[in-house]
Amino acid sequence: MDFTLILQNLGLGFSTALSLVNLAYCFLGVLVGTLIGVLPGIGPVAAVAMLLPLTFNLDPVGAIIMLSGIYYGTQYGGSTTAILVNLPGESSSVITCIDGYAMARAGRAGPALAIAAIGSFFAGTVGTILVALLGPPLAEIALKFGAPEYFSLMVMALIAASVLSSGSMMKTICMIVLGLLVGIVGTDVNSGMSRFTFGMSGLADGIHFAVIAMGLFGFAEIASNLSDKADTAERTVLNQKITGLMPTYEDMKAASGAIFRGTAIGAFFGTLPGGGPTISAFSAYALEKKLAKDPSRFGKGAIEGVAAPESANNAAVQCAFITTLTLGIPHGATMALILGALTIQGIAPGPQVMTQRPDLFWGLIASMWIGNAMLVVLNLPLVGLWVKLLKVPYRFMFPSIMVFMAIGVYSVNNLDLDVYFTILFGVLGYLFLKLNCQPAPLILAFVLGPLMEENLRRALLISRGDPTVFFTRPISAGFLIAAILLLIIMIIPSFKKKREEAVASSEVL
Amino acid sequence: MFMKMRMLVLGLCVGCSSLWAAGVSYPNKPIRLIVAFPPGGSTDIIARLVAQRLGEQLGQQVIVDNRGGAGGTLGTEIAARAAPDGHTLTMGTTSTHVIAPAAYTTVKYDPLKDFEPITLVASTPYLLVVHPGVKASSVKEFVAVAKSQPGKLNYASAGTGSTTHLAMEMLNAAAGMNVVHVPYGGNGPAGTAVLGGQVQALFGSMPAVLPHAQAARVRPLAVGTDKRSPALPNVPTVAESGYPGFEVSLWLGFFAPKGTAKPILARLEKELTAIANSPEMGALFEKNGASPLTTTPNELTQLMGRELQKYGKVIKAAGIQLK
Amino acid sequence: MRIKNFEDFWSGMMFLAIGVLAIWESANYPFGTASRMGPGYFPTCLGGIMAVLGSIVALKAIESSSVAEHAKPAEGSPFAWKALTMLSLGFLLFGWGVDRIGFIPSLFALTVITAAAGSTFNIKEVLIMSVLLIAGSVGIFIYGVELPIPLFWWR
Repeated sequence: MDFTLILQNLGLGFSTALSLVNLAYCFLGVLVGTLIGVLPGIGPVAAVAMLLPLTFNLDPVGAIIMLSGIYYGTQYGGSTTAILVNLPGESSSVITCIDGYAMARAGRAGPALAIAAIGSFFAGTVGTILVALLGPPLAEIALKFGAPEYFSLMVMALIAASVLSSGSMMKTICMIVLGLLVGIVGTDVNSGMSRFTFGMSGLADGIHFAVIAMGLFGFAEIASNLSDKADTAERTVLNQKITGLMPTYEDMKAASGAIFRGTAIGAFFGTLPGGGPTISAFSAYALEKKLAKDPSRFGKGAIEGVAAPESANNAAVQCAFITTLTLGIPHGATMALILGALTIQGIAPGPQVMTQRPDLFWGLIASMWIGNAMLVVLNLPLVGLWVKLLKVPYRFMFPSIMVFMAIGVYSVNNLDLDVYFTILFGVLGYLFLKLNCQPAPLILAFVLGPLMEENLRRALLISRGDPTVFFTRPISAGFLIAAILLLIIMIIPSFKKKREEAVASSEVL
Repeated sequence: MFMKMRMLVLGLCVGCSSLWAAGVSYPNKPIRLIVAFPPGGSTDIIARLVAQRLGEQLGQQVIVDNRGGAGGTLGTEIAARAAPDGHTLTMGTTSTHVIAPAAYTTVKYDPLKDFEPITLVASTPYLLVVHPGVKASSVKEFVAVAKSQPGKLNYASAGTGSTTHLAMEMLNAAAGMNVVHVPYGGNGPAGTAVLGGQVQALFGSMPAVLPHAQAARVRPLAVGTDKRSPALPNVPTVAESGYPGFEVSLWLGFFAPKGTAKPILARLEKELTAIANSPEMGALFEKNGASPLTTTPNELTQLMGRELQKYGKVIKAAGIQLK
Repeated sequence: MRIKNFEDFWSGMMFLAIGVLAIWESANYPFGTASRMGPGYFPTCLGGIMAVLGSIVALKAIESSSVAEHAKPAEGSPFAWKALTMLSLGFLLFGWGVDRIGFIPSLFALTVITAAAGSTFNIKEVLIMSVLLIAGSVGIFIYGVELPIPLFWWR
C-alpha cells in the first residue's frame, strides 16, 4: 500500500474532523455516550436509536462522527460502572468487574478507572491506525470466516475462559455449560423453534444480557453486602481507605505489558463480526493470568486484570469499524444503526464509500482518534468525582443502584418479565457467591453459546453432515489446534499442583 | 327492537367520538407508535422517518416505542390490545400481519380482525443475488446450474420463516429445483455469508444487498417485485425471467387497534398518505431501498387477504411451522 | 460418609439438578442426528455434561477427606434471607406496577421496600432519599432519554 497516499488521506481526515463543528459533534457524542453508558441497561443501541432523529438534519460527516462518539462513549461508560459498583454495562466489561471492583473496594478505584482510560486510549489509537492502514485487507480475512471457523473460534474462546477459574476447574466448566444452556433460551435460528421458553412469549428472543448481568452481578452483590456482619449505618462499599487517585509508577509498569497484549488481542478478534469485544476481553484477561508470576493476585485487585480487558475491548470496538465501513457489514445492532443513519443521509455503505466519500471515511477515522482522546480528557478529571461516590454510605447507595437497575432492565424491551427474571438471576447469583462459583465464565458462554451452536449446525448443514470440515479448513483447524494446546497447558500443571491449588482456591474470590 | 337499540347506542357512540375527534382534541397527547422490531432495522428507520413528520403534521410528538421480539409478534400483540383512542398506532409489515400469523402457531392476534388498517406507506423489494463464483447471470441459468447438481447449492436467509426464506422457497417450487436453505440470524449475517461465498445465493431485502450488488461483490439476477427497480434498471424481474405471477415484497403500513374512531382513522390516512407521497419522503425512502406506496384501508385489507393465502400455501408446502 | 466441602457439594447438586431439568425439557424438541442436528441435540448434550460434572463435583466433596481445612460449614456471613426477600419484593412490585400504576408510584414502592433490606431504616431519611431518587429518575429517564413509560396510572 502506498504510504504517502495514506498520509495524504489522513491529512484530509484530520482537516475534516478538526473543523469546529465536527469537533463539537464528536464531543457531544462522546459526552452523551459516556453519560448514557453509565446508566445500566441503556446500552449503545438504545442511545444511538434515541439520538438518531437528531442526526437527520446534520451533514453526513457530522452525523456519523457524533454517532460513533456515542458508540465508544457508551462502551467506556459501561466499564466505569463495572469498576465502581460491579455492574457491567456491556458483556465486554464483565471481566473488568472482577479485578476492577476488587480494586475499588480496596480504595483503589482511582487507579483502576485511570488505567482503564489510559489502556482504552492506547488501544483506540492502535485500532485507529490499523483501520487506516489495513482496513480493506483485514476485511477480506473476515470474509473467510464461515460457519466452521466461527465454531472452532468459540470452542477455543470457551476453553480459554476455563483458565479464569480461580477455584475448581470443574465448577468453572459447569458454569460455562450453564451459560451455554441459558444462551439456548429463545428461538432457535436453525429451526425457528422456541426452546426453554416455557410458553412465555417474552422469552422468544432469549434473555437479554442486561438481565443476567444485573442479576448475577448487581443484585447478588447487594444482597451479599447487606448480609455482611459488619453492616452498620455508616458503612460504605470500601474495605480500605482510598489511596490515591492516579496510578503509581509501579501500577503503570505492571499494566503496560497488559495494555500492549490486550490491544493486540482486541485488534485481532475485533475484526471478526460477532462477539469480538467480549471474546477479546476474556482472552486478554486469561492470557495475563497465565503470564503472571503470581496468578493468585487475580480476582483480588490486580491492575493487569483491568488494563488488559479494557484495552482489548476498546481495540476490538475500533476494529469493528473495519468491516462496517469497508464491506458495509454491520457487527451488531449499534453498527447497523450507524449504517442506517448513513443511508438516511444518502450514502450507501459499502466498499465504495472509501472512494466516493473519502472525506467521510477518513474524517471518521480521524474522529475516532480524536474521540478517544476526548474520552480520556473527559474521564480522567471525572475519576475524582466517581471515587467520591464510593464514600456515600451504603444505605443510600444500594437503593439508588436498585432504582437504576430496575429502570435499566425494564427499558431494554419495556417488558415486566425482564424485571422478574433479574430477580431470578439475582437469587441465583447470590447462591453462586455462597457456593464459590464464578459468574464471569457463565456470561461469556451465554454470549458465545448461541453463536457456537448456530455455527456448528450450520457448518454441518452446508457440509451435508460431514464433520471433517472443522479440520480440513485451515483457519478452523488452527483454532482447534490452539484449543487443544490450551487444554494441555491447563491440565498438566493442574495435575501437578492440584493439592496446592485446592488449598489456595478456598481463599480466592 | 334490541337491534335498533344497539344501533342507536352504537350510533351515539360513533357520533360522540367523531364529535370529540372532530374537535381540537385529537391528538391531545403524544402518540405512541409501536414498532415490533428492535431499533436499527429497516422497519424501524422507515417508522422513525414517518413518525417525525407525522408528529409535525399533528402537532403532537409521535414517540417510537420499539417492542421487538418473536419475529415482530410480541409488539404487534401489544398494539392489538392497546386502547383504540388513536394514541397508539403500530407499524405493520408483511412479516407481522401476514407471514407471522400464517407461520406461527402461537400468534395471539388476528391481523384482519384485531386492527383497523390505515394505509401503507412504503414497500421494499427483494433482490436475488448470487456469489460471483456461481456460473449464472440470469434466473434461467441459475435454475439450470441448480438442477445440474441437485442438492449442492445453498441459499442464505435472514431466518426461518422470514420473507427472504419464503421468497426462495417460492422460487424453488416454481422452478422445481432444490437449493438448500441455510438460515442466518438476520439480513446482515446472511449478506456476509453470500459475500464470503459460504453460501451461493440470497433473496435479500434491497437495502441490505443493493450496496454489495453495486460494488459487484455479488451478482444480481432478478428483483422479486412486479416492476423493475429504479435503482437497478437493467435487472429483470423474476416474473419476466420465466415465472409469471411471482411477486414478493415487504410492505410497511400503519395500523390502529380495532375500534378506533373513524374520523381519527380518516385524519391519519390523510396525513400519512400526504407524507408518504411527498417528494422529500420519497427521496428518503429511496435511499433506504424502499419506495412510497399508499393504499386505502379497503385496498390494504384486500391485499392482506390475498397475501395471507399466497404465503399460507408456501408455508404449508415447505413444511414450515414455528412455535 | 460426611460432607467435607459444603460449597462444592451443594453446587454439584445444583448443577446436577439443572442438568436433569435441561435434559427433561429438551426431550420436547426433535433430537435429530449428529450430522443433521435437531433443536434438541445441543441442549440435551449440554444437560448430560452438566449432570455428569455436577455429580462428580458433589461426590468429590463427600469423599475428599484429605483437605481438612477446606471444610467450612457455612460460617462466614449468614444467608441473606431478609435482603433477598426485600430486594426481590421491590423489583417484583416495580415490574408489576411500572406499566399499570406508573413510573412514580412504582419507583416509590421500589425505593422504600429495598431500603428496608438494610439493617438501618430511618423512615424520614428513606422518604427524602426516595423523593430525590424519583425526581432524578424522572429527569434523566423520562425527560432526558425519553423512555415511553407513563408517570402515573392516569398516564
